Amino acid sequence: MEGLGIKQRLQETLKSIYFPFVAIVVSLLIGSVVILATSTTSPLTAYGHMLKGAFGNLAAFDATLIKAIPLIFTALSFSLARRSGIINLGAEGQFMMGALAATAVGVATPNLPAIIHLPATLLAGFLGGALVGLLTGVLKVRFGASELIITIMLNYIAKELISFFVNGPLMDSASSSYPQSAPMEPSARLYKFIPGMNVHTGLIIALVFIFLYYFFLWKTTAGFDMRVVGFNPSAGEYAGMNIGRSTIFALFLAGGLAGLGGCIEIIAVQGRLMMTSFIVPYGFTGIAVALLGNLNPLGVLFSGILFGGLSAGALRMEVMTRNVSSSVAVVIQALIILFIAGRQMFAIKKRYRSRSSSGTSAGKTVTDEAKDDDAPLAPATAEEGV
Amino acid sequence: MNEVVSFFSTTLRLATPTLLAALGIVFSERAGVVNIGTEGMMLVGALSGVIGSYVTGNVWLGTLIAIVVTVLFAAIFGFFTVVVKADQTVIGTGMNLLASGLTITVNRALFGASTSPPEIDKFVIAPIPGLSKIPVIGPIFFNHHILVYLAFLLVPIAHFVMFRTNVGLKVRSVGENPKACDTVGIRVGMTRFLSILYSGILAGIAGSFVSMGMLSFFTEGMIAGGGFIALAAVVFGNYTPRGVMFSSLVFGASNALMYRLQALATNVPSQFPLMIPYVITIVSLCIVSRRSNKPLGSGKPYIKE
Amino acid sequence: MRNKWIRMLALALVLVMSFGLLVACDKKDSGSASDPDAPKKDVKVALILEGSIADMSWNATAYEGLKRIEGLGATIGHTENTPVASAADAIRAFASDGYDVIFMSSNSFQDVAVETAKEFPDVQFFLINSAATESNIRSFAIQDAEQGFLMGALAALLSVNNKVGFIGGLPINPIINGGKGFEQGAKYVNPDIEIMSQNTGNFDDAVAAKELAKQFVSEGVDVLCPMANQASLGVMEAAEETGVLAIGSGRNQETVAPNAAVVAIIKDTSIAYEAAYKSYLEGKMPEEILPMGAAQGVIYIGEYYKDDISQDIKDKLNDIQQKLAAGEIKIKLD
Repeated sequence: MEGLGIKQRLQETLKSIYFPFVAIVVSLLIGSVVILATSTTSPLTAYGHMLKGAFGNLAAFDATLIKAIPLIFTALSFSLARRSGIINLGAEGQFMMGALAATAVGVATPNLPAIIHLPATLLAGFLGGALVGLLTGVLKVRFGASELIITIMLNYIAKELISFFVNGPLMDSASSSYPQSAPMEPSARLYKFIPGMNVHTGLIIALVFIFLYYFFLWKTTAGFDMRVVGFNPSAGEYAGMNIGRSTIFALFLAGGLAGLGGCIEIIAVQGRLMMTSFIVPYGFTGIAVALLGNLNPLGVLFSGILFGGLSAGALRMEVMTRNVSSSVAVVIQALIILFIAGRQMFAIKKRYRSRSSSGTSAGKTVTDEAKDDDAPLAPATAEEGV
Repeated sequence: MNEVVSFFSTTLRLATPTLLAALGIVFSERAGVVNIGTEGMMLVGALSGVIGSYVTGNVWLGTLIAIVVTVLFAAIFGFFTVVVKADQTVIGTGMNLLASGLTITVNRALFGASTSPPEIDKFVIAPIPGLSKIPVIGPIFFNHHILVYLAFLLVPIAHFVMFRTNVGLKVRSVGENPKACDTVGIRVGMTRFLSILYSGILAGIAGSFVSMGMLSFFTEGMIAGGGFIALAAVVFGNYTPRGVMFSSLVFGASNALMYRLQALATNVPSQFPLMIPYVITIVSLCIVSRRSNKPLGSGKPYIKE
Repeated sequence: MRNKWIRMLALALVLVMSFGLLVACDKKDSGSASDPDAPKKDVKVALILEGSIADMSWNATAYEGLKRIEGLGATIGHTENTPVASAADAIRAFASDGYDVIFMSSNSFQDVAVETAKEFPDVQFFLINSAATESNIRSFAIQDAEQGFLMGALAALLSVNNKVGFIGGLPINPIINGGKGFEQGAKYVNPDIEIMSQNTGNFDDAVAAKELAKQFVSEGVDVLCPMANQASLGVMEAAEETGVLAIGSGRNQETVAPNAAVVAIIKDTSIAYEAAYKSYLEGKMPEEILPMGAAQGVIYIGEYYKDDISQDIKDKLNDIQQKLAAGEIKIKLD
């Protein structure tokens, strides 16, 4: 890759942004039809407000970053599992269980120094999600049960468990009979760290985990094995890798990432666990973020910020236009999922092929890229459906 | 006695939307399509049924409109999974999000912020003359909405179509071995696409039943996991219409049990009975997955070589 | 790896540029459309809702309150389906857009509101059903117990079987207090009355409320009283189908129960919003939590839907309402 010329690099760059770009543009266009059909505001005005609310000034970008953090974690969760050949639809439930475990630790032990309490809470969040992932992995490997159905079922079980705990064992005795936990202890919380901005130190943790995601998958043997198993299970088996163990480990880590996201959302943003803490489908939105970011570390970072902006901007759009519902943003998110997952339809076949076979070194690049980027997204890689 | 009657009658009523949707999913699953988007399809059906009934003033025309709209919605799913050959799971997830966003937007645009539901024509209880007068049996089985009878009558028909007709054979072989089908001239893509549309029809009816049979209005997010429960019913029912009926009844009964426990003011937290369907689906999945009727080609788009 | 960096940077650049294009277009056409950024002299009032304004209940009534405030000459704005995680952004969006008053329609917003209100000392905040009072925060408390009391009293007056039922939604303070009020109201009229009372744990699931109501009826309850926001409609439908009576807890619930609905004991929070706004205009906002109940006209007896309710019963209920308003009846909440 290092030996490429400027021109080829530019080509590569264009190629890698082509699909996300088209998917976003087409989704915005269809979204504008929805806005035209359901409101009296011009789509351009609406999108203008959305953009201002997302990236218009420092305060807007601040809000966008806060919204991006949980999405980055659920996206990393989906990406890691997908790289190992598993579709993790369970980030939703793992996120909730991470939040639940973190809450239990975060409220139960007052008077602990932050240096112990905070790491313990973060660890609980990670483990809360990871154990759900582990359970999924064990059931899949031990019994051959489809992880799709298991994760979906576990999402609903997690939802009921949250409801049970905030109405029962974890209910705040001080605020009597609102279904919510006590506020997290100050020693278990994350705070803002940039003067003039509200974004919290969870951002740093997110960046660290984006790096760890990259480092683990591309720089360690375990990560390499995982990617090989994900890319071609039989090749992995042939090379003597333990596919079952790799699957379980991948789901453990993926669950942990989602759980950590849930933990941070509670200890940094919401302050306590509530019945209404998970109205936003963090897990499912994370899938869109992961796919748009092509399962790459930096891709996830940028698309996470983009989706954070979409949600922060939607709020401003609703506030300013007064008649465009913020649910339009959900429609746009959904369309991005459809068009990025179905991106083959935008492939400019003839040109793409002729270009990829043109240069001498380009041939290598394409296979390389296929292995790195496209393979986990290609259709038919789900080795098991429902 | 009264309580027993009420329990079983409630079970049948609560099982109906699950059964209707699951009878659709069972065909698309057998054809090799993992239809996670059922939840969204039911939501679309629920809203379009209410709109249809509101506009036409007739619940049956409303249901017809729900079917048409839901089939169009299902066609989007079919387009992406069969024509574009994108990942079925991811597209299904996208369809659910799309349905949730669209129904809120459309509901708001049409009915605005109102403190009262729009008055619509709705399904009424249709006791079967004669039979409904039989003690115990009558009120349990023959005192329901027409869609309840239809759902259960559909079970033997679906069973016959799936295992005794050419259509059923095609559907099953397309799911089991698409490549072989292709070589003998069965159109894999078309068969899958049509089975998705069929599951759309039933999801539309199921959605209409929730918004116009069980209730008479639409609220945002009213399906509340019903589509996933239907998917679970198909897995727990091991991909046969009869099995699906059995699992729908079990899930319906666990819900009825929860209402019963609540009414008796027992101290069982309502969350645990609500988990029953999810837990038994996971357990059954682990027990039967090695002997499952799940088609081999499930979840994989068929790409001609 | 450097290559990927460049690619990603380019991706970001293109995204920003494409958005920039939209803004550029936006500038052109915004001249003709109504420009919300234009300076306004009147008071700007915002409402932040956790649920949907189409919920035919709590949030819809709050939105009605906002409309009433608009009727008083204010410019209004709202944002619905706002998760707690976005509440701070919503406050900042409104406050930085020059809004003077912000209403928060849910108890879940309390922490966020108290925290974020510090950033905007010139903005007046009103929190519904909260206990917070800061220099720029006032809370008002809807007297749900009084509504429950009136429902319970009327139910006891109407019941033939001497068995009445209360179905609540999510077991939060307002509903729990409503249930306590219901019990005391029914006992106030008839100390021997049998009461079934249960919360479904949910405001959205009308099916759950309906099924629970039917269970109550099969246990002999002949007057049903829902207090479960939009899920209340399920209870009304259950009463209609089983042929028992129902007392609504909000306007328009009778539409699904033309034969069963007797009357609605209305908790019109929109009046509470209006009253709170008026107190702001007049600059008379007491330090303590503002009660909003029968005395303030927020909780009252609606119009009877049925003709066959005796004047005697109506008189008795009116009497109870007056006693509640005058503070002669005290409801115990512990």
